Amino acid sequence: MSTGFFTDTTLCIGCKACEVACKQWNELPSDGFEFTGESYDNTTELSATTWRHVSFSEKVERKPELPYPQTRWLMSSDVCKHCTHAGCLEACPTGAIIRNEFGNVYIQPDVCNGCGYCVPACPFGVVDLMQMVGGKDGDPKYNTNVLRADRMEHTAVQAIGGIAGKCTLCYDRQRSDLEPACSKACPTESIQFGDLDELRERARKRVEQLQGRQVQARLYGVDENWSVGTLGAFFLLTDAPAEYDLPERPVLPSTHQPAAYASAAVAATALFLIGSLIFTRS
Amino acid sequence: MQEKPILKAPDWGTSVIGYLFLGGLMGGSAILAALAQSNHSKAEARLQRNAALSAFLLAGACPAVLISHLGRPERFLNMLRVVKFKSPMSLGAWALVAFSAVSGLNLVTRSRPLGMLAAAIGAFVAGYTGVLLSATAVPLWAKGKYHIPAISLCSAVSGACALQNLLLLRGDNGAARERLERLEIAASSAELLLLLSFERFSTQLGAPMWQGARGRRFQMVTMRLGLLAPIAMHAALLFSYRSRGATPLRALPSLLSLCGGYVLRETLVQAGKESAAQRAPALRQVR
Repeated sequence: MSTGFFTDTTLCIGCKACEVACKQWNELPSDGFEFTGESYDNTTELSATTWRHVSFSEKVERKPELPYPQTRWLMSSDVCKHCTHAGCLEACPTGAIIRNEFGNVYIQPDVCNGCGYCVPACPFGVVDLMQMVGGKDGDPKYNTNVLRADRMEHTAVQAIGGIAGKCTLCYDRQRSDLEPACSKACPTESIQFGDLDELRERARKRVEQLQGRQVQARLYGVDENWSVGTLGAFFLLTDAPAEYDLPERPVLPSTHQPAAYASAAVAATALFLIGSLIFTRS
Repeated sequence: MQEKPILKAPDWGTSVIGYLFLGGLMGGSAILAALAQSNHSKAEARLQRNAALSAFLLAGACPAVLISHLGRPERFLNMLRVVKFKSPMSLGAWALVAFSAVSGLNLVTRSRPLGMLAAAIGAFVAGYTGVLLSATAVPLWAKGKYHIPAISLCSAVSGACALQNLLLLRGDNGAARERLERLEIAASSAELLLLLSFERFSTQLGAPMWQGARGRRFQMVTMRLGLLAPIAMHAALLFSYRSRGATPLRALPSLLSLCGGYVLRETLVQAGKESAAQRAPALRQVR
C-alpha cells in the first residue's frame, strides 16, 4: 500500500493553514517575511524549510456583459510530488533518500551529507539545501540567519554544511497512525491524504462531477505516461499546468544518462586511439 | 519584475568548479601516463613518471576540494555507504577512491596493466562529471547530454597535455613534447568543434553560455585564447621543434590552454545555474 496526497485545487481557499501546520509540526524555521507584491503569495516557493506552498495565480478575464475585468484566482497548495521514479532518490550518492514503508520519498537527515546533487535532479524544483550550524549538544541546528539570504543569493555559508530538505509526508505522524499535518489542518479538504488507489478513484469521480458542471477539470500526475511515473502527491487542475508553476510533462533526469555515457565513451575511445597513434609512431 | 523560477539551481561554486577542472587534469594525466608507457625514450620515461605522479597528487587534491564543499570532512564517508549505478555522483566517488589506490600502486610498481587500469578509471573520472551535469533537470546541462561529456574528456586530455608540457619545458624533452603537442592539437580541435556544435544544438537554451558578459568572456578566454590560439601556436612550432630549446614563449600556449579549461568548467556551471532560473525551458523540460 502506498499513501499520498490528492490536492483538489478547486477547493483551495488560499488560507495557508497547510503551510502553518507543516512549519509547526516539522519545527521548520521562519524564512523571514517580506511582501512580494505578487498576489497573496509571500512564501514564493517550496524550499528546504517550506514544505507546503500555496501559490496564487491571478487570471484577469474580460467578459462582454461586464464593464470591468474580472480577476479570479487559481489557488493551489504545492508540495513534493513523491514521484514513483524520483530524480532525487536516484541521484542521491549516500543512500540518504529512500522510499519508506508507506511508499513515500524520504530524506534521512542523519545520512545526507549535503552534496546538493538532489537539488538539480528534481524536475519540479522541490528539493533544496538548508544550512546548518553546530548546536551546543553537537546536534546540527538550522542556521536561521542565513536561510533567507542563502535562498536569494544561492551562496552557501558552510559553517557545518547543508542538508537537503523537503516534505517527508509526515513520516513520523504516519508511523503513529496520524494523517499528515497539512491535510489535517486543511479546512476545505482541498488536501486529502490516504491510500493512493483510493485517492485516485475519488479524484476521477470528482473530475467527472466537475466536468458535469462545465468545469475544465483534469488530473495531474495520475494517468500520464511520464518517465517520473505517477505522482504520490497528485493534483486536480482547472487550467494548464504552467499556470500552477508545474511542468507540462516532467522528465526524469536519469533518462539523459545513456546518451551522456555514450558521448563520454565515444570521446574516450577516440582520444585513446589517436593518442596511441601519436605515441607509437617513431 | 523578475520571473519566478520553476527549478532550483545547485549551490555549487568555486570548489565544485575547481573539482571538475582538477578531476579532468587527473584523468587526463593518467591517460598520458599510460600512453607514454608504450614508448621507451628517455623523454617519454620522464613524461610517464611526471604524468603518473601528477595523477596521484591530483587524486589527493580532488577529494580535498570536494570535502571543502561538504562543510564537514567526515561527511565524505557517507558517499561510501552504498554503490548506486543510477547516480553518477556515487559512481564518481567510488572511482575517485579506486583511482587513488590504483595510481598510488602504479607509481610504485610501474606495471603496464596497472597503468592501463589507472587510465581507464581516469577516463571515467574525466567523463562522468559531464554525465553528472547532463543527468539533471537543468535545461542547459540536460540539452548538452550529447556534447558535455565528450567536451569534458577532450578538455581533460588537452589540459593534461598542457600541464605535462609545462613540466617538461626544461631539459632535452623535445621528442615527448612534440607528441604531447600533436595530441593537444587533436583534443583541442575536437573540443572546439564540439563546442561550436553544442552552440548550434542548444539554440536559445545556450544563451547563458554564449551571450552576455559571461558569454563574451567564454568566447574570448576558452574558445579563442584557450583553444584556437594554442592550436595555432603548436601547429606553427611543430615544424621547428627539435632545433630550439625552451623559451618562456613555449609556456604560453600551455598556460592559455589551462586557463581556458578552467573557464570552460566555470561557464558550464554558472550558465547552467542561470538556465535553471528561466521559466519557459523549465516548464517545457528537455527530453
